[in-house]
Amino acid sequence: MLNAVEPGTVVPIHRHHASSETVVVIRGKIRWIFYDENVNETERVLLDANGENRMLVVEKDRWYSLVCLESGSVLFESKAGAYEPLGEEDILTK
Amino acid sequence: MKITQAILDDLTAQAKASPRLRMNYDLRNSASDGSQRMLNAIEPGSPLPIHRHRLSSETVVCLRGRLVEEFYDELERRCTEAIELSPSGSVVALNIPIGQWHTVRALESGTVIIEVKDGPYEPTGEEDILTL
Repeated sequence: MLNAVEPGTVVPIHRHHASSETVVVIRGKIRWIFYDENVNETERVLLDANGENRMLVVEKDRWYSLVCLESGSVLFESKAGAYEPLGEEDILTK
Repeated sequence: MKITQAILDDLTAQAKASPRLRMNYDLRNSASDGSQRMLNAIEPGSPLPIHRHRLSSETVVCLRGRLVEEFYDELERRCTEAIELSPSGSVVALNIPIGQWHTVRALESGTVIIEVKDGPYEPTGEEDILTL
């Protein structure tokens, strides 16, 4: 799917249990933030459509959130498997 | 896993060394995925017959370089539409409809796309190749 995200959008820390996720920032700038299960930040990756890195494969089961840094950002997301809403066990709260 | 320019450079180098002048990089969880996700480095001159996918539409995103997707009509056996894709051009991605005859030509060395389809991989059968 394509996903337009704007600065200020709130994405809870979550994971996908059934599949890795391939993401490409088609436009704009988005920061991925990875966490461990104790909600400690472990890695930040900046994806910039005009920069060095614009694509990421988020490993299955990895906790993450994202922050949109530029208005007009559009993201391409691809996962295996049918759509399933995130369960409570797939959302991490501080 | 960060898909860095270095990974794309390596894939392009493999494409150049291949007789088909293209090389893919599997992004699936495993071969038992019910869908296909891959990077595909395509060099100018890479031979790809006009073909169709009867089971799924195909999503193509141009990550770098420049390419043309050509659509063909089965009855008239001619190209009906040619769409140029590039990361910073007016078309960056394309959804090729299910059953649409198509082929692709890279216009620049270093061109890399992502291809996504539903369903497990199946080799293209003879009935899914169009000769002009």
